[in-house]
Amino acid sequence: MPTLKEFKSNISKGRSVSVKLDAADRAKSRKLSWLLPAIYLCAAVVLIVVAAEFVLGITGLGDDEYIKIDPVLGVTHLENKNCTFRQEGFSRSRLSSVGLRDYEHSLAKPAGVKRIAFLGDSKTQALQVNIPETFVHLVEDKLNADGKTKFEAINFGMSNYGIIQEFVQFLTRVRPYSPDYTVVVYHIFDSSENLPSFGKLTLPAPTVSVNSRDEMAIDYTYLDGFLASPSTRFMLASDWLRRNSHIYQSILSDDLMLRSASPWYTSIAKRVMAPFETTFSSTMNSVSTGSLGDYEPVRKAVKEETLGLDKRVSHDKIWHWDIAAANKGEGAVFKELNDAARNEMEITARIFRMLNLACLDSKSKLIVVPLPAPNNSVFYFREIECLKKLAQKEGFTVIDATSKFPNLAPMEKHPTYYTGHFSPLGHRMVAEIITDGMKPVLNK
Amino acid sequence: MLFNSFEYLVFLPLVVLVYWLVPRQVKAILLIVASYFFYMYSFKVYGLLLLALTAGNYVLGNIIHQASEHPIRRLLLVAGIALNLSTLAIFKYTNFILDSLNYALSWMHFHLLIPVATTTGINDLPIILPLGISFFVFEFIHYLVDIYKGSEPIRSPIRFALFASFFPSQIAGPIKRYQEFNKQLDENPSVTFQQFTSGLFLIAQGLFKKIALGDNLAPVVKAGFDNPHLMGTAEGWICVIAFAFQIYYDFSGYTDIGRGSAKLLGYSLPENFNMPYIAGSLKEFWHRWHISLSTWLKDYLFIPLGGSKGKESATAANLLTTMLLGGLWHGASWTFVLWGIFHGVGLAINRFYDRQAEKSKAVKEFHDSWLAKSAGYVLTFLAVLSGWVLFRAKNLPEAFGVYQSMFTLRAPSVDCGVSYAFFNSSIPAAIAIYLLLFLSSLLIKKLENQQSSSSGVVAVYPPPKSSSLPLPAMAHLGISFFIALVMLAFCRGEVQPFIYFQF
Repeated sequence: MPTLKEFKSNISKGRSVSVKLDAADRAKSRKLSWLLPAIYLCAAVVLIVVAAEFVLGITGLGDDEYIKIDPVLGVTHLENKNCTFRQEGFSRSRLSSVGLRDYEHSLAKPAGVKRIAFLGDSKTQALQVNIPETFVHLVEDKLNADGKTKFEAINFGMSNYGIIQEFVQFLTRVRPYSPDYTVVVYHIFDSSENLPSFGKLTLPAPTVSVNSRDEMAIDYTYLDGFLASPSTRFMLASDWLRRNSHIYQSILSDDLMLRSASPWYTSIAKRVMAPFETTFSSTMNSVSTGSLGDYEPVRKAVKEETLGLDKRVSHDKIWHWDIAAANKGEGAVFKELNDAARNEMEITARIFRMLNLACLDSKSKLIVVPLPAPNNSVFYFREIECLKKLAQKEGFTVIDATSKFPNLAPMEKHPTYYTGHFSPLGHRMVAEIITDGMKPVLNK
Repeated sequence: MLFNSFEYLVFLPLVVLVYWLVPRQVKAILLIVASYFFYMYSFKVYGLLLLALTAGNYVLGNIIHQASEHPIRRLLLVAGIALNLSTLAIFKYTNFILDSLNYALSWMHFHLLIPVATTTGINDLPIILPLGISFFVFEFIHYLVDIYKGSEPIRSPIRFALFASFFPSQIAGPIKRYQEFNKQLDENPSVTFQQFTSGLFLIAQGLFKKIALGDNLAPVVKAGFDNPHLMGTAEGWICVIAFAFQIYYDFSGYTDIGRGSAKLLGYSLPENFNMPYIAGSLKEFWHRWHISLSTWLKDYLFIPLGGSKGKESATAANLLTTMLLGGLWHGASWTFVLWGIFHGVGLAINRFYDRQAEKSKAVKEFHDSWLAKSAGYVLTFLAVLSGWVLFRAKNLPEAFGVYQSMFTLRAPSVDCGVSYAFFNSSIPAAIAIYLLLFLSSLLIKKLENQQSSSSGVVAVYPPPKSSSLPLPAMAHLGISFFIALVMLAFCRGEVQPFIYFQF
């Protein structure tokens, strides 16, 4: 057995040395042979994950999550949350303390300020561009450029919102801000999203139903189904990660993108998850929904106010296309589509009547802005005609952005759009149209 | 199948796993099957084209070799080259030739005889370019020419089929040399842990280059080239510089993934890039950019044309011809022809200057001065940038519009989206992370060098097991994991194809 000095000397000279280990040493060595590497491996993994979180944090990437479950509206924005959007265009922004895709706004209206509340879906939310480049703020800038009156625009836009959500949003979230003008940015499919029969809603939402006595009621059945689902409970359970881990948020976002882009991914994910589905469901069923708070009083108030407003508004029909006379040659499919569009629009018209009344009750003027759509959207253009007719009857304003916007066929090939949403150029054009349309209303 | 798709992320590990599990005799067949699956994933019918060309070239190669002294050899070589080039011409240049012919005829006030032309508003013939055809056709020509010159052919049809279809280099190179590939097959490909981790590192690095850098630069470039008249001077330069880096990260990213994938299978593919934008001359640029193509062009075009053995004017003409055809190889369009001519002229000037430096002491002194060297870097980069305008533009008016924005002083239009697309993106973050990765890869190389220089020392305690997990390998693994995590935040909705796939 060499001495330690000989051992070191041999190694430093590049000679081989042999060491005979006794049984205890060998056992100790075996124990260490897997324990130490395992510890090193775990430490390295943790270190790398922390480093990646740190790098993503300082570069402002991986803040992809922005949605939270709301038992009244279906979904709203997470509050006080940085948000990176990369699916289409690119933006970094911070969601406000009350969950608006906007700067902070005080609840109390400042003296001498006229407030404009913008309600709408993802087109208004405009995650594809930074907040100052959204048409909401461009309209504000343009109106303030005159200098006579100070205007404050607030963006209440939220992806996937339909007209019924915007109506409920007005009653619960918008009205407390005392807006002088309520601008509802209307878009294709907004009308169909009001009904549970639409069935293709990707996010939870309240819907409406009309009973045999022709009374319109807010229906939470569809939303409650979502609230009880394992995936919603999983969202609630993983709330901390969804707010704080950039890696986790990126994984969720990539998962969503891959599900629409790769059939392989969808199929593999389904197969991999299948054996765990039962365990997952039973585990998630034990997750409490207590974090959603006591929402029943708010729901009750909304339902009652809706019933009250519905009794006060006209139920006259607005859709005037006689399918049998006008489209004899179009066939059964066209008739079916027309019937569906008529049914949806009649409901939408009633919601707009109620919204207009609610606005008037709170001294706010309703303005509806139908956004452009591809020129083959036949029924959407009929909806706009209905809205114009309704506006004349009920005394609100429609600013038709479709007529002044470049022809969109197909939409995504136009420089005003990225793919499905406005580019900065599109926002500038929409802002110009809205500002020009609002000026006569403001001067009244 | 795209290297940056989810499908490839499933395909590669499966192939690697099965490859190392099956017996040696089956490995090559497995790789051929995998390569054909990879190739036919998007467009099945062109698998037959690859198969037919492989069979044709294999047979021709063997006949050329056997007819060693027979005068028919030269004829067979010409037939082989014609077979490959005509296949390329049919798929790649038919519409270009007909379009140009129609344009010329209409310019001369003749009636259009051929009912296809883009310039006349009539649709092109519906020919879909087979993926990677330009690359494997060049590999086949190299194979036939080298056999004609006396090299041994690949005897085994399986080996030849693998050489022709090897998926890590199938679609966009690097353009392989069959001797090196066959030698690797002789040596029975194996892989050490260190090679395996460096393969993973290359794949991760390549994906980062493509997804985080190349794809994020694409909207900046698109905003400029789609509307060149809206760009101001600064936007013009930002747009073209963005394209220079987009194409570099896109193509070198592809090569890294290919080389990394090959390493996982125990193969080594040639390097294709060596920091091309730090070149001090155009000649050096072509030693650093798409190295496998430039060496192919030198060996199989420039030298057969006469190379630099004749008069200076002949050498210049050879350079011009080589680069013109090199330009045309990239794409069937006049912009690529002009791009090739641009580089040909540049290389001829470069050569003329080098000759003057050899002849004149004063020029030599200037040539060696720091001023000339600095100017060399700047001028080379400017020349390369100017060339990229032709490369990226869809047509000459578009290229002219971009040149106008670059070389005239003007303010941008409010609708110009170039600066917006650059600054409102994850590009600055991606560049910062890439620099971090670049520095860490240098550090790993240093570690590897240190380890290899100290390899004379043999220690038995700690036991030899520990040396199977060397530090550089662990660093490669760790950094690959880090890149994978960070890259999750860069992926966009749609998988963007690699730019060189269109060639």
